[in-house]
Amino acid sequence: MRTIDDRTGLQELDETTCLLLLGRHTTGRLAVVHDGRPLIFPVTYRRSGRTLVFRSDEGTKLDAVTHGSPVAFEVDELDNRTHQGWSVVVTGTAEEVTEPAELDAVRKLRLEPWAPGVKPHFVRITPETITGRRIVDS
Amino acid sequence: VTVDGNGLEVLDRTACLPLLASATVGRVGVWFASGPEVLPVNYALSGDDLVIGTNPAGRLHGALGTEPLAFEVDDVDPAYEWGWSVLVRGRARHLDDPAEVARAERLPLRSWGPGRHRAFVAVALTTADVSGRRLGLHGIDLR
Repeated sequence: MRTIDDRTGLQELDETTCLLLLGRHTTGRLAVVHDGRPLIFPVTYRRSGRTLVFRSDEGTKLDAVTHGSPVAFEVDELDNRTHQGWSVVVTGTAEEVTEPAELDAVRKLRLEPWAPGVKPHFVRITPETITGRRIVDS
Repeated sequence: VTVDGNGLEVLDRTACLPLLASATVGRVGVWFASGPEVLPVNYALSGDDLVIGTNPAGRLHGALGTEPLAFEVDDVDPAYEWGWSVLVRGRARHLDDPAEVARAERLPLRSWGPGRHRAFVAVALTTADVSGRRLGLHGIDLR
């Protein structure tokens, strides 16, 4: 699919392509609102179907997302030398995974956080929108 | 050395500045009425300002002049449990003054995708909150 965004001149990616790219990577950036201000931090994640799962300790991340709060999540691969790459942005809601069968499933995702710490909680992002852009130098 | 609840070393503003200066792509997060948005952007440091190249026709450019923002840069390698991230929280201002725009145009700020950046916003690092975390980089003195 080759749709060019008139405003940015970037090639838009369809949802299937975005999901494939999300499945190829394991580090993304989560944006949440905490105390009325946006906050962004890197997280290790896995794609599970059309959802994304990451692990968390108690703290800012979990506090900000426990009640189905709106979040944005971004993954990209940008080559600074060739100025080519892509970025995928997911917006949706995040909720802690608590249901036992679901917990069993997400424990099998081989989700190893980059930071130490126990991180006993699993959080799932359910997308409302998935958008992606490929950057090709013209 | 201060370590946070996740076992990451906490970096203060002084330690974050060389990390900010070492990269050229960051992610900006802004809260719209419709919800949060996060997008990759090109940036460069200019004196005490963090200058971000934007698209004047884009939603992000409009919001950055009014809404509080988060700006994040990182280099993380999960396989080696190595990485750092820096977070800047504050407000940006549109660069409108022709002299400021001319200065921004001389920064090493290449646009991703076709064309050049036609607009810029700046975050004053002296008044913004600047914080960072790192892992597996002990022994590298950032001061």
